[in-house]
Amino acid sequence: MTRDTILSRIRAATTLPANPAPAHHRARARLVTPGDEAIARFRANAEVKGATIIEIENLTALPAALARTIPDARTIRMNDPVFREMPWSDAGVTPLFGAATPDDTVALSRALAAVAETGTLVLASSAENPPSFAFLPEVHIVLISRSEIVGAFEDALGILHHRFRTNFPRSVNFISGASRTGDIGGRIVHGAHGPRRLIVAIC
Amino acid sequence: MTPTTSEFPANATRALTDSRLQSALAKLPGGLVAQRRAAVASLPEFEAMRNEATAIRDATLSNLAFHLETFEAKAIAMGSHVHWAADAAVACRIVTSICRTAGARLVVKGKSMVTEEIGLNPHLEREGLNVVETDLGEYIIQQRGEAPSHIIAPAIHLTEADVEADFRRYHDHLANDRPLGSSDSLVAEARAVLREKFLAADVGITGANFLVAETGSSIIVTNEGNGDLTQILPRVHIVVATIDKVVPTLSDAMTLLRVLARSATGQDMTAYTTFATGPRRASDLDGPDECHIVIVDNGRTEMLASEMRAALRCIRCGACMNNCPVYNAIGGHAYGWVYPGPIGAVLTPALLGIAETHHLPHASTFCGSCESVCPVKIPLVSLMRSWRERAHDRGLQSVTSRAVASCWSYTARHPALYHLIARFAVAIGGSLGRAKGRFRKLPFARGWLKHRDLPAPQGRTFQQLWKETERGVPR
Amino acid sequence: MPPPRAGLFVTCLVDLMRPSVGFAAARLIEASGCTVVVPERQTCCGQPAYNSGDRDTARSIALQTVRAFADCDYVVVPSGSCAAMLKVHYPRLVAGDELESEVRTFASKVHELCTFLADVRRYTNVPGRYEGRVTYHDACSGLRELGVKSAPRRLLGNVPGLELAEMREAEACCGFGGLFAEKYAGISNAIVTRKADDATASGASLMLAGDLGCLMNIAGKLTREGRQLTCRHVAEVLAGELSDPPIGHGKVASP
Repeated sequence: MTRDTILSRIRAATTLPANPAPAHHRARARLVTPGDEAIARFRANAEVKGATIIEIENLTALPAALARTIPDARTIRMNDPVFREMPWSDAGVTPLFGAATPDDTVALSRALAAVAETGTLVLASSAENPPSFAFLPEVHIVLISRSEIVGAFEDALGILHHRFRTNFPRSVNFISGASRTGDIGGRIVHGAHGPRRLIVAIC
Repeated sequence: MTPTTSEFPANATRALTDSRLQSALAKLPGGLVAQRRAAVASLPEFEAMRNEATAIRDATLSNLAFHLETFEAKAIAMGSHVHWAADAAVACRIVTSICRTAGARLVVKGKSMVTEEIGLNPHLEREGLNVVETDLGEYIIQQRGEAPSHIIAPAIHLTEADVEADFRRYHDHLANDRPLGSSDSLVAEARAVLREKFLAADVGITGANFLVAETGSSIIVTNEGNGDLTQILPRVHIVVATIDKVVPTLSDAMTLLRVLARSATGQDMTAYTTFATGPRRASDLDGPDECHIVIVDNGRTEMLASEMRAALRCIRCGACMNNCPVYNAIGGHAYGWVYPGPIGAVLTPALLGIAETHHLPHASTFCGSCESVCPVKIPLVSLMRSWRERAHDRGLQSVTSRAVASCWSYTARHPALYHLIARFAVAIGGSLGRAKGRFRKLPFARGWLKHRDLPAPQGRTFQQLWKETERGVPR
Repeated sequence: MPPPRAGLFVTCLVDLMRPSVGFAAARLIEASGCTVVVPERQTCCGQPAYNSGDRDTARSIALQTVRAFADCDYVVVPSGSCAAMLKVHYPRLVAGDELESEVRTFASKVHELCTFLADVRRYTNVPGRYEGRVTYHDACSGLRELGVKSAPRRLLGNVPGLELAEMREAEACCGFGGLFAEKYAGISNAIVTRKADDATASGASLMLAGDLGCLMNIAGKLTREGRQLTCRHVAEVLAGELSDPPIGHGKVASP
């Protein structure tokens, strides 16, 4: 009853415009940057937001690179089968597979795309990439391939559309830097509720 | 939240003499205004996007029923439950019923103005639920029993010292002698305390910056990550959103998101922009078992049918109040309800009625800064003026004001009489004021004269002098 | 070809409080090559009624004004807010009815004074001279409704001896807002205090603006606090009409 009432009141209040105006923005034309330029721009914009960027030649180099970047990390939460074969023990790190727990200090996800325009990562939830990995631990590591770094958000939306059509997974996250707040006294502090630190590994 | 909008003059006076509030407000102009300017300057297409954002909002509002139905169908297809609430009471009942059915005891909340508007927290608490605000600013003021003073920065009126005192009082399970002087330590403590709540909560309630019809998703835009933890960890997720939050497509949402963060905090993107669609999937390791979306009217359909429709374009960025000289002088609480600043001056009368709220649209200089920074070009000055017209038609001003206004109006429409009275009045004023050139005291204009002098007239009117200088030859 | 007829819309504040501004404006308009006329059937632009929500009175005043200036080629206004009322809001008051085209024609002839001189008449070599540092307050309506920003500055740039120092937040409101300054005096005071501080901090000895309401508000605050900075309407400096004391100052030297 309430639903019909609201809808009929809305219909009574509105009439169709002669030319409805869906809008497409034009910044994309300026922001379409191919290959290396997009990577460099992504890096610069992500670093300005406080992310740590590491570049690796291939996946097997990841454990060692992480051991250098976060030497205190003994365990890393992850759940993507592609990580199983990597040389973690050589780097002195124990991988933990499965759901996140409140005691996890570091977690590793893979991004679907990265947007150079603002240094933003695009993650989609799945069994391999639970969104709790991105919010529970102190340190969040995100792996992205060079070929998946695009210029503008519209390109990222294109990738999402290609993968999911309009049937999104439970969460699609745009992540730009670490958790922060200015709510106390106007000063910016990191690690409000989400991770204190964001590391992006470009492969 | 019980409105005190009719007590605005007293609220404003109190705010002006509150030295702690004033020192917190002094931080605002340097911060958010300058940041917005820089962010806008860095995006050459900003003005064009602003026009597109405005067009998207208008087009959506013109066809709102269609877009809401599209949203509903898609949200249901993706596994969400969609509920419709005509007013605040119904919305609160729906949320309570969802919590009851889930056997909930603890509820965590992300920031949501509409839940303030419908009085959700007190309602849930009366029903025996424990409710915790998780946005840091909201958490702080919840502990203090206060209302948010700003849409984006609810605790901006407080200093670090205020928050330290609060945390020592409320987190009494922690060691008394722990160091808590810096904002770093305060944030770390809040993080730890609230982490426990996230993990124990049965229900997570968020607002929505937008509802996307194309995918049946809700979007939240945050920096802290609390909104995300609220909608990942508990087994039930409830989204509360007003009817005007819907946007047709992801592409439309992207245009709005680009202008939102820049206008609000000067960031090109906030740390987290999250699209939530339906409950967890069969293979997911986390996420809620149930996702509910409560669509709330509470006066919006009336606004849609009136000249106030443009106010429904609002995307809750807060730029209008950041740039408002009145808001910067008195802060958000003085407005007396949920929505402060220029948007509050337009929205509050629509939701509570002009009789109780007429001070809000009157307490403006009409400087137009708000309109000039609004990312969706809401004609805030014109809308405030419309409220003044309604107040005038209902005779809501004081008897004196109306009498003075009538006299002025009458004489202004009768030029010969006007010029005669004017000559007389300025002759007196001019001779009384000749020596000093100004008045410190007069039997009228008390408000003006309390704080500043009133310059004296020169003693003759221009019309009088022009006639005396032979048809157009200036002195 | 005879020179164009420019009707001077005096504004109630100039008419009642400071006619010297009207004479300065007339002098400048004439120097720009127009014949100046001052229709008698003008009183007020109607803003006080319009902004108080009394649309009917505002409409009556609008029609009165429009008809008073019917035979003028231009309508020139030494006030941004009054000019905006005539140019932007009069058409809104009659939108959709049979008077609309008459009022639109009128509105197209309306110009704020500095814009009229610099942009319409392309007249910039003004007669004024001023030795000293001056700062300029951008009154809100003129700035945001009519785009008055560079015109006064270009004109001031042609006054020999004058050094223009921009104040911090020159575009910030001064807190006048018409009846607002009386009804919400405490808030108005907070805003004008900030403006007085910013204007003083510019190091100027004289503050100018194109709106007498703002000027009376700021000058009143400066004299109440015993500050040295004085205020005049920009037309006074441009026309070299400085024989009257600044706003709020008398024949006797202050305090």
